[in-house]
Amino acid sequence: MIEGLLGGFGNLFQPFNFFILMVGVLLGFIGGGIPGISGTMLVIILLPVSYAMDPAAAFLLLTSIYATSVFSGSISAILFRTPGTPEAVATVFDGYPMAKKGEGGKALGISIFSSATGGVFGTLVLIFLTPLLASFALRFSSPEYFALALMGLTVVASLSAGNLVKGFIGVSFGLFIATIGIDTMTGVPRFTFGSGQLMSGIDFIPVLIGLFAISEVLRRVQQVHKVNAKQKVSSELPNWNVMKRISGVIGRSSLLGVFIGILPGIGATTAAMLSYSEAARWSKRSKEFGTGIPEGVAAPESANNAAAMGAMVPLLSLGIPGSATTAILLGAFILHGIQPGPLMFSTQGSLIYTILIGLLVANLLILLIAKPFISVFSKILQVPYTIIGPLIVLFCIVGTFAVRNSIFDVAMMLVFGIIGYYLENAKFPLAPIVLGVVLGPIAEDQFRRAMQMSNNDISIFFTRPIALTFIILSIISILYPLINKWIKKRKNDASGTDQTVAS
Amino acid sequence: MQLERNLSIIIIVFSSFFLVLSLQVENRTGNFISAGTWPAALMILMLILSVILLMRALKVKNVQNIKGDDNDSADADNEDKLVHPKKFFLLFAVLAIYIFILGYVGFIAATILGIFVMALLFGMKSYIRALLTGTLATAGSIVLFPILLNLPFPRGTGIFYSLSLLFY
Repeated sequence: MIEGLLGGFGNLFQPFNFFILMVGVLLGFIGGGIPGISGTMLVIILLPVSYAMDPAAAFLLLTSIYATSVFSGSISAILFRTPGTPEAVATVFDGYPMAKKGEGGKALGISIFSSATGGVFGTLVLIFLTPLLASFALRFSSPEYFALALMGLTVVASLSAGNLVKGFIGVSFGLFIATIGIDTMTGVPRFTFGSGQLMSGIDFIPVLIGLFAISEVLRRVQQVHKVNAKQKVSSELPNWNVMKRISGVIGRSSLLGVFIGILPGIGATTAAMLSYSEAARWSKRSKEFGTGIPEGVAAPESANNAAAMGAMVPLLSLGIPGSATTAILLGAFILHGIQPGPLMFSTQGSLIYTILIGLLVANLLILLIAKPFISVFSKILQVPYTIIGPLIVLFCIVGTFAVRNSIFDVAMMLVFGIIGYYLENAKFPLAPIVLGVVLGPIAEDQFRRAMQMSNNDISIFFTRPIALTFIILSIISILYPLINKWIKKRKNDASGTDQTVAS
Repeated sequence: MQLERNLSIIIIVFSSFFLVLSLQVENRTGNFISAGTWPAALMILMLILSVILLMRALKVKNVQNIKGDDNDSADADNEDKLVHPKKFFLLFAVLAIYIFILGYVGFIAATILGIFVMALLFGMKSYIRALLTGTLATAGSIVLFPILLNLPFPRGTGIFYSLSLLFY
């Protein structure tokens, strides 16, 4: 491992790779900081651009954007009460009141320090835990891969925002989209309607860009865009007393964050919310939470950065995406001809360690670059959406076209933009569709291979311990929310009956 | 809720249609599990779930009819934020036309025109600023993608093809 890490350092500090890392960090800062441009969207947009690069440079770009955008979402959350990324939602609770009290710079400083600490902690866990999980996963064959993909798909339970039926419809739709085109195992065309372009299937990039970016632009064009008032902002890193005060919160939240991040599908947003509520529960100043205290900024910020790194653990070791952005990163690996998972450490060891070291450095760079960035950023925020909106559309079009040089793909992007717009209006979670599109080919191919291995005997999935364990975990992750809901309903019914009797 | 009801009906039609097509997919290998089995299973699952969704939507509608629709005001508030609903269709039309003409007029002309119209659609008041945004965005994209990253952009036909050769 030490050799791998040293090799990673060597690769990272090659001039072009380090330059790309810096570009990624800056883009992550800008993308995360501007509401409407999430880290996920930036990774999607730059994915086709990265295709032209060497894998090391490509993944340094994408993962550094991913790591830093989680932090920079807090800037507009603190200053304008508008989280730049979903992960920064909980930062608003205490960050904005601090800014209102004239402590905006202090809140930003705490956010920088907590994010960097949480991110570095998460990366260290990623470095030391990923190889362990990967060596375990080397025992995998088709049944295990299918069971694993199934477990990845059951993450839908937590991605479907409380509506399992819609979540499963979404995931089925995504899995179906992945079946369009020539069947890789038999060469039979499926649902192509004689179209040559559909023969090669629907690429997941137009689907992703359409569902997330175009649908958002179609929504925002209908709104009135206010020009942000001029604000002078400068951040100040926390002094020794504040550091001492928030160190416990950062430690606990980072630990909680990384643990939540490792669980596939939970994500950094949930981690930030949970750590905020846990910090409030265990703090001596629990009543002051929400009024603008440093602990209220430190808890979600350290947790979301730690969780973002934690979400990379199942991606790199098992090939399961832990969040929407890691699902896109999974797609990026596939696009570069690399299959994330158990074999990755033996076949792509140099690349993996370069990515890990890159993430470590990107998180440390938050400490160095954030301060000057924030003062520049306050100017970018004044650029109106009348300029940013068309530019987002342009990047989406270019990003989609660049993958296969296909105008048909751009048309598909628009179709999925419309689908995404209406699905969001009907409160349909979009993440399960992405999950289905990305995991679909793995799930189908491995299922069919496993069935061929066993001469169509389905018991192959229940007689192999690892596959069986994954299937049981999948069933639990689907049933748990349903049982939980049922128990809560029964409790509510019982308390309702008691109240009626009492009255 | 009406949207949800309509959506579940669309999904029922969609999954039924593709279920029939899945069952017609050729079984070239003669295996028990053919190329159509997986999509057919997905469509059956989608069909069942969309029926459940429709039933739920109808049930909620009945409850709302009895209680009176409490969500009306909240929905109305949300709708208020989308003050220019027509712009949705306009932007969609602009994008559709842009994609349609991209192959014929090439990236340069289509993008300058597309960004110009989109900037106006997003609320830019000055025509000159909109044109400037379109021109600069197109110039920036050409420098970044075809020139620096060697990505082949559409050149168009005839005069537009010749024009593109001057830049990339």
